Order: sequence, then structure tokens, then C-alpha cells
Amino acid sequence: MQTQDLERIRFVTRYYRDLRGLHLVSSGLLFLSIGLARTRSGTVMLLLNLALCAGSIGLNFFAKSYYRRTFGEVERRRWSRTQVNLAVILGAVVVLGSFLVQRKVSEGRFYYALFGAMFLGAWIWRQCRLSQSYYLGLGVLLLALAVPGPSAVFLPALAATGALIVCGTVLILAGLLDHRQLVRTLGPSAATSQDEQEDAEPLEAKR
Amino acid sequence: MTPTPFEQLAHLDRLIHEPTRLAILTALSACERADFLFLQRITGLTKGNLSSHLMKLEEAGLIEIEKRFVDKKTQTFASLTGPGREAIESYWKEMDALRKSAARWRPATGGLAPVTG
Repeated sequence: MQTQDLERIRFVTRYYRDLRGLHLVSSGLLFLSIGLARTRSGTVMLLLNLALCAGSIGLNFFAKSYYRRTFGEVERRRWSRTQVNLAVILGAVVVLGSFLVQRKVSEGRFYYALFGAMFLGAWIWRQCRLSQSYYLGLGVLLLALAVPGPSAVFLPALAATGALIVCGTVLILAGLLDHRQLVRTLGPSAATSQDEQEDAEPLEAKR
Repeated sequence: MTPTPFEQLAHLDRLIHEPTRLAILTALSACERADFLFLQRITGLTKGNLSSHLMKLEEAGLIEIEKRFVDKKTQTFASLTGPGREAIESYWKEMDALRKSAARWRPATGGLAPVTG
């Protein structure tokens, strides 16, 4: 057992809830659905939209049960009073900042800025780890799209609809990468399930 | 006189220093509580092996085992006790001190003569 193994154990345990990427994929599908709903009307689009919404809700329920049965459950450490205060202040700053930015920029740019800041925040929250650098990459990409200069190059993506579709896709991508990391760290999903654990849990038998 | 790294190493708590138990305690120190399945996944241990280590840690008063009923099934949760959390924190401090003293340590010169012939 090396120091880096212990560090990996500590990281995955602390951020286990955040690394359950299928929940993020579910949110991404929802944004994608909202974005697509704004593109054009019609029966096909309506059906596609409904399918995406249903998929998002279904995936959310499936993910909860899947992670519990496949990888188990972890209860996060309780936050200290200082941490709670800091989170409240940071939340207030983000909400206030969002309102101020929203008034000055187009809706599309606002989405890029908001999601870009969220991705950068997630990367910092997860201790700026190299294994999580896709959050940094995606955050920088979204923030670059929010800047007036580069956004001129991506004219079609400037509109709010395009921004929602791009942000939804990015959420799906980040969720899949999180999920991949969790599966790679905690072993293949074909291994022991919760049912097997209940069948032959030696700790139970020894008591 | 400051102890040598070897003396410091000899004084480490063996219950914690064992790699498997250290992995379990490291995981538990990063959360409030974790269930049996998660601990099994993160450490890569078999059920029997993990159970035996958990029982040793529980007997030493470092962890608490709790049974819960979820969906008519028993779920086993493990969490660090107060002394357990203190023990793992003090272990990491000792390891840090050991690492620093090992980096500084030089063998005493003139103590042993080289063997010849």
C-alpha cells in the first residue's frame, strides 16, 4: 500500500457523492431537452423532447439505485459552522453576480459564463486534482465562449438555445468521465452486489 | 536524545500501521460513515477478510459498527469513534515526523569497523 493509494482512497471516499456521474448525465439530458425544445416546434421535436425528459428522470432514479447496489453508500462528513458560513457567503456572491452579469450580457453568454464558473468551482472544490482536470478544461472552454471576442467565432452557439445545448452536452460529458473514474477506481460493476453481500456477510454470521 | 527513525518506527501503533487496516481507517476518516460494500470496493478485500479487520478495529474501540434496515435488508455501516479519529490523526503526525527524521538521519560514524578478511 503506497501513499498515493491511500490518497486515492481518501479522495474517492470524500467525493464519492460528487463522482456519481450518472446524476450529472441526467441533468445534462434535461438541459439538452430544454435547449432542443427552443429550436423548433413539431411532433418529432416534441417526442424527442419527451424522450429526453423521461430519460433524464429515469436515469436519475436508476443511478441512485445502481450506485447504492454496486458501490455502496458513504455518508459525507458534517460541515463545520465555518464551512457552512463560507458556503452561504459564496452562494450569495454567485447569485448576486449572476444577476449583475445577466443584465449586461446576452442570455447565451450568461449560460456559458455560469456553467464555466460552475465547472471551475467544481475543479477547485475537488482539490484541483490532475485526475479531475477535465473540469478545468471544460470550464475554460465554456468561459472562453462567454467572452465577446472568441464567441464571435462561434456565432451559431451564441444564441441561448445553442448555449443550453452546448452546456447540456458538456454536463453529459463530465458526468460520463466522473462515472468512468469511479468505476475504474472501485472495480468492475460485475463484481459483488448488495444482494450477495446480504447472503453471505461474515460479520453478521460471527455475531 | 532524539530517537532514531528505527526507534520511531518501532513505536508506531501496529493495529493501525497494518496496510489493510490503514486503508480502512483512511477511508473512514474521509467520511462520517461508510457501508460494508463501499469499504470492500475501495480496499479490494474479500468479505471475510474485511469482516475480520473490522472486528479487530471494533474490538480496539477505533470504529463503531452499526446495522440498519434498508428495504427489508440489513446494511452494515462502519464509522470512526472519537478515539479512532484521534488515533488516525496522531498516526499521520507520527508518520510525518518519521519521514522528516528519516530524511535527516545519518548513520553514526566510527561505531562499527568494516569486516576484513
